[in-house]
Amino acid sequence: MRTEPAEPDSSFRRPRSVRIYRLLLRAYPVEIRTRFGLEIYEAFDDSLEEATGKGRLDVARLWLVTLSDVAQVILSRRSTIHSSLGARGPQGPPPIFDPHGSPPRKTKMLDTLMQDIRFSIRGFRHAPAFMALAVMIVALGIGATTTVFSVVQGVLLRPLPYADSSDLVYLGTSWGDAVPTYTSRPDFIDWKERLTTVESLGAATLQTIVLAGDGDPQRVMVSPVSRDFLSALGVAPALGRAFVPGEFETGQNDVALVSHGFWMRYWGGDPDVLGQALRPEAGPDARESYRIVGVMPAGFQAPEVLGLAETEVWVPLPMDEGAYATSRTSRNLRVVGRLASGITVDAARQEVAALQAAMIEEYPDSYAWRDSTVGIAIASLHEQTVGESGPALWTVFAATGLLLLIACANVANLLLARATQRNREIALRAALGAGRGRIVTQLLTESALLALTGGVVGMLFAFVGVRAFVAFSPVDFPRLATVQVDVGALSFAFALSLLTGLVFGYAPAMLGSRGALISTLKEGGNQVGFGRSSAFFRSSLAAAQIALALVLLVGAGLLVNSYARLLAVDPGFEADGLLLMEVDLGDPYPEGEQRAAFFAALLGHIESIPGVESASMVEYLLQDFAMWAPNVILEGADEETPPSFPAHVVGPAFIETMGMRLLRGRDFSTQDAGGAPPVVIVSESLARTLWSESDPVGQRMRISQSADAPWLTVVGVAADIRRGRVVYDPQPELFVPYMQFPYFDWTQVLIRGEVGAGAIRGSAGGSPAALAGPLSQALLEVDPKLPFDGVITMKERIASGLESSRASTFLALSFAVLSMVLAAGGIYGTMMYAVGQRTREIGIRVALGATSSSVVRLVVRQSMVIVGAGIIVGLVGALLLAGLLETAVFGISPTDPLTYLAVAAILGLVALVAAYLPARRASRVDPLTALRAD
Amino acid sequence: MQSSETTQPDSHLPLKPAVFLVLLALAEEEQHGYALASSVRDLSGGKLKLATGPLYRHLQRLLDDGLVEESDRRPAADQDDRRRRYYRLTELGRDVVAAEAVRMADLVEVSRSLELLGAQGKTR
Repeated sequence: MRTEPAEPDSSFRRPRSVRIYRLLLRAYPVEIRTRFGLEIYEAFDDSLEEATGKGRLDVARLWLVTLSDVAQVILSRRSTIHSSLGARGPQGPPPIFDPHGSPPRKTKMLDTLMQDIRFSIRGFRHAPAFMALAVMIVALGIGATTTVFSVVQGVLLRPLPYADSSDLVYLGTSWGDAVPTYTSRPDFIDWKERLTTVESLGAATLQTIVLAGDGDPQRVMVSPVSRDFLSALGVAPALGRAFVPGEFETGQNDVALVSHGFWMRYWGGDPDVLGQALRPEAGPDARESYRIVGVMPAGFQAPEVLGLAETEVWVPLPMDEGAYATSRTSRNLRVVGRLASGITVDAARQEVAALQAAMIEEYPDSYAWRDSTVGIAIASLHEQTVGESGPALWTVFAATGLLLLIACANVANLLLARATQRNREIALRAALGAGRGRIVTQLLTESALLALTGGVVGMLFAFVGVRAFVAFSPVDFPRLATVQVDVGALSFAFALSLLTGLVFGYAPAMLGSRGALISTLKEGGNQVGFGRSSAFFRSSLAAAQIALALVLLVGAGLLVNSYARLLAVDPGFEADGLLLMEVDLGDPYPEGEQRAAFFAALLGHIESIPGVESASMVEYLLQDFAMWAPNVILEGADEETPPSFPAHVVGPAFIETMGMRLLRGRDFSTQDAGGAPPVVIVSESLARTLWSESDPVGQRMRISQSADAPWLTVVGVAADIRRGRVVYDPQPELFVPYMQFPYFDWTQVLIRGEVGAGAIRGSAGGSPAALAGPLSQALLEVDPKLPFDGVITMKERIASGLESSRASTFLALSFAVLSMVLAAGGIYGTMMYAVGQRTREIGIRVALGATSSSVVRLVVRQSMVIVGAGIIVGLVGALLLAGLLETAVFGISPTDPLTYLAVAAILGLVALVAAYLPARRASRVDPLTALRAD
Repeated sequence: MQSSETTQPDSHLPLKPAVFLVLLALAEEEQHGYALASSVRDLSGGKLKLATGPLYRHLQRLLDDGLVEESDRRPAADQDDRRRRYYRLTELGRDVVAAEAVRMADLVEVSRSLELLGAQGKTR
């Protein structure tokens, strides 16, 4: 018999959903379950199938209906149980005094609670708009706070993933501050010997090797480590063994540990990996091969602050090898250690200070730096990892807390407004015998329920929020990879919801229940004892929110404006249609001529790819400092200290490929090669600096002070470009041909072209992926052993330089929008309350002939006084604080009037809408009802 | 045994709207639970969507009161699913649904005589 092919869709979802349903059904009375048994599941399953056929919305609706039904069953069951308890009482009607006959106190309390909850739900159903608004405000507050809490927890509070990680310290050379950096080998050996407060000092460095994977060569990060490095981190291989002491000797060190991920990727998790060989195709001191002796545990990652997070292979680091072994100024070791037991970082710092003094005295030359000396710094590894993000995150956390408080105030306001509308109901209940405590409990139950609902929605917001936070943060923000909304964050949100429920529920409950004391029923209407001063307080609160929202909006508006300007800055070259491909030659090309020949061949191959217009190269362009800044000596000039200018080593057709403007002379060509006369192109501003008005083309310069340095002839002048972060002004700089100065073994190949339908041009539409294939093929043809590291568009590269601006813009905008929504809620609540208070007055006005539009105008006018005051205060505040943004904005004044006006207009409009709703409600007041009510 | 009181159709009136619709649906034909829910929805013009839980709570009540009983009808062998049970009206059930219908018809008559039905939608 042939089996039917299973429908993946239904066979997937059903069993699980039915299981969930079965769990929910536990709420049902046992008789129903035993009586109908599986049939119920079958029927539910059928409904689910039908809903699934119709779409997701129907499935969601089905679950919603089911859940609310179960909730109702639970609530109704409680009271049934209770009444049946009463009915089962031993002897008929309860005696008047019977200490044992009444139901247990606990049951009674629970019963009351259930009753309160039922009652609250019924109340909310009658006021869906109120409920939705209040829940949304709470949800925004809780969502924002939980988001930031998740980040704070993941980045700041969670210990580093190493055993006893609080004892771990980072030790290193410091340059004028207390921040440890890399260290030399002789220093490391001395420190290790002398320090007693820090134990198991270990060091590591970093290399890349190239491995022949399945076909394509792959670049892999390798970390040579000293004997104690891994044990200091408290980690041991999960499979195989650690290095043994003999393996740290030169010649014995051909062993390797690999990461779990690497093991899975290359060996598919095969335990036979032990003893296998790892053969690098290229890399520094490429050996015949490494023998794999162990696999590190899954999830192990070397500390990211040491720049080792991506390491996948660890090899022993012999201390006596090469030039590094003796030079105290070749600082490339990252040193970690463990505090001796009972020692604090501060105690260790004292010993380190003494060590520093001793080292400076013994090795004054190696420790000299500028006019002073370098130092030795020690810091907790955690602190150092978190770095400056710590204070920043706490600030953001505090700001979110403030937002939450505002949210609480708003919901309290809304609840007050509701209490005024309900005071007759409350008074009625009081008249029927409910004590004040009972009424307060009921009101608090309502607010707790509201808060919890808001909390649940807020948790959903937090999931989205954390994702957005991670996506918008700079890549170098520490520890973001592991940030998530976890059980801790959810518990936090839950506790926070309960707390906020009490905070915003307390005042309305107390004031609301006071209405029960004075007999409102008799005296009528709306005199629930809120005085003039509390009305003023509420208005001030609403105005303050508007002011705060305006300040934040102005800040966000300026940042958005500035970010847009950053993106729109003309860098002086055509970034559209430009691709970057990084090439790292490494060891196999020790000689300049080899490198020049390699790149000449590579550029030739690339230019023959269909769709490529031109190709060139530059060692590194888009960074804030120059890799190379030679002294420039002009012909005929005789300066003691010739000025130095940043220089770039570029390929043929550089100006054309970059899309720069050539002001005079010519671009480089393939003719400007090794044997040809040396040439140079200068930037517009360098030309102005060196020759002011006269024509630079044909002038000669040397870029080295040595007597036999060649003379370079200026062949062209290029318009200035902004490189590095576009906020910096163009610098005077010069360009020389790589074929004549093949100094760098890694460089970026620039490719300009149009492949297919705009594959490169306009990175928004096309994708660089279209060219990735042909480019990697070109690289393979020139050297099959070099790995292809992918391509990136120039636009992406420029944008990645703007990450921190983008992050702060995003954060400011989120806060501003949140605060605006909250402020709108504040206005809404305040006006709702005011309208509730003035129902009678409005009724009289209407009775005396006021039209509904005049009532709307009346209410809106009152709200606009509050909004106007808020906006004025906010504008003044924003102007006062504008100085803070001076350095954060680009191309726009922090007091830009247009931004201020636009933002005030937007906020005013939003507030107007928020005020209009209560106003419309007021206009519908029926004079008869309003008057009869009293 | 049912007491004489509950065998009187009138003692079950008035019916909850949902229960009335369930009985009407069963008056049409014997049905199993899920089909019943769909019939109720159709009969109510899509207004009443009974979730599985409430449906079975009503059924339990109706079975206890003797208005509905399990049917011995089974679907064709190849579609048979032992979990699925069919329900039908009892004699009493049929009487009750008829009595309710009469009661409602009377109410409609009264409404009509008060000229309420012509003024629908303008009541407020």
